[in-house]
Amino acid sequence: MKNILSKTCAIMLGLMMSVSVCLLAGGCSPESTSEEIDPNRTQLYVFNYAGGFGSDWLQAVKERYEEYSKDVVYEEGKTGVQIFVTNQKSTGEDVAGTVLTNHYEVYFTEYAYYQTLRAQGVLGDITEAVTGDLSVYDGGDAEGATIEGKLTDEQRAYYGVQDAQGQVHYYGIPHYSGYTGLIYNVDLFNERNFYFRDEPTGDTIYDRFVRSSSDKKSAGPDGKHGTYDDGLPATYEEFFILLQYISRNNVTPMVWTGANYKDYLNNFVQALVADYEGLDQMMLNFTMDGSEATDLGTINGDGLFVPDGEGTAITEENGYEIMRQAGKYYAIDFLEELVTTDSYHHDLAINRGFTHLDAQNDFLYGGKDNYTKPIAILLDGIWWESEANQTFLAMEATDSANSKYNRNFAFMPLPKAPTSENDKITLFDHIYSMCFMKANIAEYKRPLAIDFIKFVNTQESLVEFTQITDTPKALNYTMKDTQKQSMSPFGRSLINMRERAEVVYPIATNSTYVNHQAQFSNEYMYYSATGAGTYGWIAEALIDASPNVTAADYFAGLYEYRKDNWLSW
Amino acid sequence: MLHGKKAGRTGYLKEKYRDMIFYILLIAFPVVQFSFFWIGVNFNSILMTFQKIEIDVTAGQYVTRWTLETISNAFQNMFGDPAMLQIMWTSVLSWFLILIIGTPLGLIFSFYIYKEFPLSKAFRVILFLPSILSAIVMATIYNFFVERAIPAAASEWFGIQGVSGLFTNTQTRYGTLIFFNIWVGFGTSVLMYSNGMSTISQEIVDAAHIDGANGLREFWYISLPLVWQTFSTFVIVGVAGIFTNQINLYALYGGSAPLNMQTYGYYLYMRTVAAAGNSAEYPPIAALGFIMTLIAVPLTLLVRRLLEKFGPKED
Amino acid sequence: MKSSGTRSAAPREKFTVFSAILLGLLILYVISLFIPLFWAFVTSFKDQNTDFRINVIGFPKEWIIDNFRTIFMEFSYSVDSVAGTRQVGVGMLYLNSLAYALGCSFCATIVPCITAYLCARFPYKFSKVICMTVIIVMVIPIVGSQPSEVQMARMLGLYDTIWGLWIMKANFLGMYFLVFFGIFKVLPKGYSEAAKVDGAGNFTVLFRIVLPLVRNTFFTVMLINFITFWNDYQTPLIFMPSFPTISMGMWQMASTNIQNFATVPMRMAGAIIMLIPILAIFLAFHKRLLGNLTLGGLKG
Repeated sequence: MKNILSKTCAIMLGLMMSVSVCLLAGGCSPESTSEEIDPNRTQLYVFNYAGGFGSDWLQAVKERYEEYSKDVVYEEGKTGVQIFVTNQKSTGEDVAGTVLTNHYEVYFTEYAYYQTLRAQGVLGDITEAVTGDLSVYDGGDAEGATIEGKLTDEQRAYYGVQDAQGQVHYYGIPHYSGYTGLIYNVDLFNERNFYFRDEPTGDTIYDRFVRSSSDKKSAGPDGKHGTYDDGLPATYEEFFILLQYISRNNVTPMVWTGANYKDYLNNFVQALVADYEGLDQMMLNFTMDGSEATDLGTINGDGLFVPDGEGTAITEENGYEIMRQAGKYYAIDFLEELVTTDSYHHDLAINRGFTHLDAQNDFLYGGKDNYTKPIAILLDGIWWESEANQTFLAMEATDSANSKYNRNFAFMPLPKAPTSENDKITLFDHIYSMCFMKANIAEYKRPLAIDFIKFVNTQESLVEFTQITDTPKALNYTMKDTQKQSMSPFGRSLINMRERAEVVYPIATNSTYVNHQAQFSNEYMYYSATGAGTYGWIAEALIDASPNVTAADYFAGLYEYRKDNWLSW
Repeated sequence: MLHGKKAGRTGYLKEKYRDMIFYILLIAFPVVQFSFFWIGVNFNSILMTFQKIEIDVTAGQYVTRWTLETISNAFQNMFGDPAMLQIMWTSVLSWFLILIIGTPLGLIFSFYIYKEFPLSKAFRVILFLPSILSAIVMATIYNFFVERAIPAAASEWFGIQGVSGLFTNTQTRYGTLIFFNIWVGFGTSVLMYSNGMSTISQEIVDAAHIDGANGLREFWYISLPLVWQTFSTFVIVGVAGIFTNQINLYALYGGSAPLNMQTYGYYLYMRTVAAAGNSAEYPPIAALGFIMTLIAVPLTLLVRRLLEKFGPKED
Repeated sequence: MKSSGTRSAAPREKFTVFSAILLGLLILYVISLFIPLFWAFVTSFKDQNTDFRINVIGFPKEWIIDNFRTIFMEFSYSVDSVAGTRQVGVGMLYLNSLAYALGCSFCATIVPCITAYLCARFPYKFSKVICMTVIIVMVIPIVGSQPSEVQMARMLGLYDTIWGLWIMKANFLGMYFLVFFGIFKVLPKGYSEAAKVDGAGNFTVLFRIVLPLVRNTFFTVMLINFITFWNDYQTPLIFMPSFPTISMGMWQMASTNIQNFATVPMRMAGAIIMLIPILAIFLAFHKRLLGNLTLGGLKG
């Protein structure tokens, strides 16, 4: 009897399987996006990292480039070029071992460590592309404009390597940007008047906020009235008052991914630190070039931060001293209040089953589905909109007002601790995105690869990239207002902020950095020897260490750990 | 071949000689395979223990030099760094817990199956199920279940609000992890144990029954000694696991397992991932591995000795 | 002999308190296993946005198969080469998986089996060396050897071929060597000596007598290996990119950031799809692979 039962069971399952195989094989054939190789044109094989930024931008530039070079001959018997794109989800670190043997010739990827790849011998010399005149493409570049001219000083020093003869060679260039920060729902802020009033009308929390759009808002982080950030919190203190106010309005103040809260919040702390410290002081974390760190300090017996009073020169020998930066203390303190106050964030903000996509979903659906509360602020990377694209489309299908072009989100300028001497906006790019050409490319294709890399970085191409992805590339360029019109409101706010801001690229050429690059990532930099054990993720220690770890404890432990382990990695 | 019957010294020598040829013929392939794919591939990684590799930025190349610094740093790191001591503790504790909870359960389940008690056939299949499904699939389901379904069930069905996910709650997460490891880990061992138990001859069992040995006593005095070989194999392999077992942390947590739940296996794996193919970061990891080997090899041999010495004698 | 339990001269199926406790434990186990699986199954029929987001544990408000359909629709694996992109359909993915898993599991079982036999039966010094090697290798954590492994495979011409992986997996290392070694160590010599007296050579003894004796263990080990290889996506991904397997396809789908595939219901649907074929194969063959074990053993 049992026998028959299990046999039947097996047969049923077998049937189910064959049905599914048939379904897969015949019924609905997979969407075919692949293209054929054109034997009459020269192929350039391009690898693209299939992450949050997608490949639409590459498709667009491919079409323009193929048109541009349709009459060019790179090999005998063939006219024109075919850019053959492969989208794969392997980062720079994964592909390194296969670059020389793969057929891909040009790579666009992220988390690619330049000096490591170079030492592995996989990067080809693209100096010609970086220093070549871009105006030849009629892409809106002035005569003599080069990719090199679009790099920051730090990027030039990092990517431009001097050989023994003093010649500068480039083996890679930066590609897109990755900042972590706060995205706020402008529609909701407007509707509920979540803006600080210029002059409080009384002592309660309600007296600090505007009642209608006609009330005069506070000056915001930039200190000027009549600008984009009026009424937004300027200080950490104001930020938390805002969260309380939002919470009292029956709105969830903040959401972020519970599944990845540790790395997202480490990235967020680093963003706060950079914004507090400013470009020069922040770069000391990586360059350790002997310049003076001006705001180091220690925790005194009462658990308070006390500045040194005098500067300390940071070198490769004492690089651990930089862990005492004031900005680090204030950012960790900020995080402590944020994560340990339940009313400030979503219930699932530390739940391992709540992914970044769930967080984006709740952010978009909150208040619109008749079940869940609206959410005011999403903590995420600037690529969030592309990741949430499916949800935007699904919501748009029921109401066009829900499309990403019609919903009003914006990238929020970070509040600052009152002691910060940096009045600029400083962004921190932690994605190490890079474009490079493989070292052993066929000689006849080298000019093609060089030409293509240049083409991808003309003003026109940079603008197009930004319009398509709603994010900036990691190069210096500006856009006209008319060019920004086709972007989503979020993309516009981001690009506007980018134009006002300085950007920290956490890169350096000194031997300590180059040889221990992982130790300078947001992940490893924040290891701390606390009384409750060693932690690497700040939020984790603040939330669950036992005995309790405070921001001051964590900050003190940063220095302890870094000093004890300095250069013994 | 046919002269095997011829007794005497020549025949004996000839047979010795033939044995030797047979042995060499068959052992050749595994040895060659091992030389290429283990020694050839890993030799470098062992040498790195005594190297320091650095990138020369100007030349764009790795520069390797021989040094004892790497291993001495690794030694200090392993026994001086509080984080590493915590990892040591977690590794040993996890090994111990999985051993003392998982193994007895596996043994008695095997006994149940071997005795063909009610539903034993079904249990045998079901116990093996988690092993046939990939760890990633099981971990995905389990993770979302304990994080999302359990809190939701608590609040919707039992009206208990504020229950956090079992991996979110710091009080429950380690237990949940160990449970998961035991929960998915029965397949192979139960199969092996019940296989071993079934080799016992029916006469002995019947004799024992006549003596009144049933249930627990039969298990203890008859079945257990019979699977001692298998059991000790698992234990011996498990000892090495102190240094290599990731206890499914990667499948469940990805790159961000809490530090106080990390094991050596997970830590080394994550450091390798973080090195991102950068040879300059490999020597310290290789050195840690080397030190662990120095500890694990004698430890394994010791455990094997002990098991042989104190295990039941088969007769 | 006195026994504290019941004492009647019972048939061997005698059900004691001890067995009752065991039954209880096993039932608990089965429940704990099936509830999450059942939840995953139910969840896979929910819509993420309108259903799962607000209804985590209940039955779907509306049973939809869209999650499965999406996976089927988009499920294919593209292999790139200089000659362009080739879409590999599900049928081929299954075949590749089968070829990879069958070949590797056979090689990874027969080699330790025979090596263990040699070591157990021929007490040369070298046999001791082999045993020691197995134990040491098991203990040494190896870091960053993958690039040199790829290099070695390329050098020997094994890269990007299925049979190349069979050879690469044909090592004697690991726990199953010890399992076989344990068995051969206690295998009475009588069998082979009797055969030898009858004029059988070493090969005959091995293939005609010894291997059939351990066939149950052999098949069990091979089954376990088969499952491991079937679920393995990392090795094929790196060493045979032109022959994608079903688990590579699943991995590709599971690791995506595209919202379509990364929601909880979609992940559960993916898990169910991955689970069903292997479950079917297992249930169809479990009699052969598991059932035999209790009957066989070492009795000739």
